[in-house]
Amino acid sequence: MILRVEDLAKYFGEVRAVDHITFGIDSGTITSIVGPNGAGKTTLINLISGALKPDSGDIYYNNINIKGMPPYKISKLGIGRSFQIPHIYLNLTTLDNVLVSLYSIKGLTRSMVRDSYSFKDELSRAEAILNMFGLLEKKDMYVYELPHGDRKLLDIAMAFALNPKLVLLDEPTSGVSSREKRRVMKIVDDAIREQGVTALIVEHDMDIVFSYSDKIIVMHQGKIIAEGVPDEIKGDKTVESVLLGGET
Amino acid sequence: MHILRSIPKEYYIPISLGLLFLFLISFPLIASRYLIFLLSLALIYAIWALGYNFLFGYTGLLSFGHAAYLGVGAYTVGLLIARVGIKSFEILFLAAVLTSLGISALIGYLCVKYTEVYFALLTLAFGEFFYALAFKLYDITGGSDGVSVPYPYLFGYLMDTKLLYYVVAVLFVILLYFAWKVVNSPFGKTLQAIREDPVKAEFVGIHVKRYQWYSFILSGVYSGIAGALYAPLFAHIYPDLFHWTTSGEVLFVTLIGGHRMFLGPVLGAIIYAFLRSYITAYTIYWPFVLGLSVAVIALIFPNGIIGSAYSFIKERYFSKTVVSK
Repeated sequence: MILRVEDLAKYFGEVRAVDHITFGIDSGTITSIVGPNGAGKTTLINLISGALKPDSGDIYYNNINIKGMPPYKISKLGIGRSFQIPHIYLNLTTLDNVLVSLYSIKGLTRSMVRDSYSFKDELSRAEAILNMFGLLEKKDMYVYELPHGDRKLLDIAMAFALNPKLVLLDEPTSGVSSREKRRVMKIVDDAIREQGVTALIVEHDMDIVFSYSDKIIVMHQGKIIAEGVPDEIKGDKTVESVLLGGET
Repeated sequence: MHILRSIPKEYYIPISLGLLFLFLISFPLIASRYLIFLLSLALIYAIWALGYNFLFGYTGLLSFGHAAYLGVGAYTVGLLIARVGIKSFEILFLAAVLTSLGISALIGYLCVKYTEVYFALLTLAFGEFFYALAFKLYDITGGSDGVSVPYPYLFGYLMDTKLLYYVVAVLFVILLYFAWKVVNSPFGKTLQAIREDPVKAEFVGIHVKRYQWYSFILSGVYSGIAGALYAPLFAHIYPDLFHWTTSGEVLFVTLIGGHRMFLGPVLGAIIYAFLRSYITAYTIYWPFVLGLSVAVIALIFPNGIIGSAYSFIKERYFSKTVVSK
């Protein structure tokens, strides 16, 4: 088990965003977290990635308790993440966006004199990652010139550049046209399988969730209400009711 | 064009710097003493602005107190000459570098804990703290009168205006080249990543506060070097060197040229130094005219002169339509 979350809780005043949840993720699998708006999915991702500090509970990654660690330390342990609204460096080129992640993980960010393109290994690795995400042809474009779908892919590619063991992807297809969704998710899925990475994905599109997940966790009002393989979740009436807006 | 194309790209920078160096070294042969003084001042401003832009243009942190490090450099040199009697510029220069490094490391460490307006206000407060010190420590600093600074010596030669100009020119070319190397290095790209999206930078393993601190120190040292050259140029140090209006000057200089372009602050410094000098000669209302001129430049060129020219050329000649796959 690569990730184990135990009795994790995060409250915002009276709101129980994540309410004492426990679950685990096996290596090499894709786990999707689903649930209605406000279920606590993104808060959970923020807690695991270090963006938020939990009120209680523990998060074990490869048996190391990462609870409360700052994001830069967590990412160096091998956890990459992407965001619902892409976080990318708009005024840098597509190639530079990926290279910064590579410099960071290789400990090269203090290099002040050598030209950033003179690190041949990192350059070819960055190009390989961009190729994996279908962005190689746009490597010299400034990111503000990229369409939304490519920005989403770049955000994810930057997480993959960290050579992660676990990626946390927050709505990888949000804001992407329905035609684009399949293309984006296919590229992401290929990257996950090729790199042997474990993925925890927050996603709203149930077609995508059922197509690509090995396991699904359903959240509602900060709690886990169901957990299982896609076929188990598909037939669950409680889940259906929650996801369609009814009460449990 | 044919000759240009035959030169490999990697030689562009050394050749450009070589040509710039040749121009700067030969400038005193054709220019008056006053013009030599003015260009010295412009290059000192350029060194200061290059340093300031590490923090502002490349890291995205707006400081309102960068006069502090210019002043620290100038006062270190001025006081060591006038009060301690050290005349060797080699030692004075080293002392200015070390003091500005120490002071900017300490202040930077405190300031980068905060962001945006709080960061800006804290830098302003520290700048004013040094201004007050320069005023109040009368026995050492000479209070509001400041201190007269005799010419130092460089390797035994008196550093008059002309020798000082050569020192400024050489240091400017070296620091320009170093700045170019830095902004194009992984460190420089890291700073730019932090400017663009500090949240993302943190999530790709960058200790954002630490790199902001490094940028602050680098910026402070460049400012200190500018100060070390400023004191012998004016042969005088005075509290206004620390004042927030002086901090405003380096911001003006950077914005006029364009803070997103590498050479923007350099061009801004040259324009500002010459503009200020000529306006001062024509009217006693020079601050008003200077302010108005800067405002007009800012309105016409919102990205600075070089930044706006670059955007215009790029849009006019190199614009391309992006098609999603």
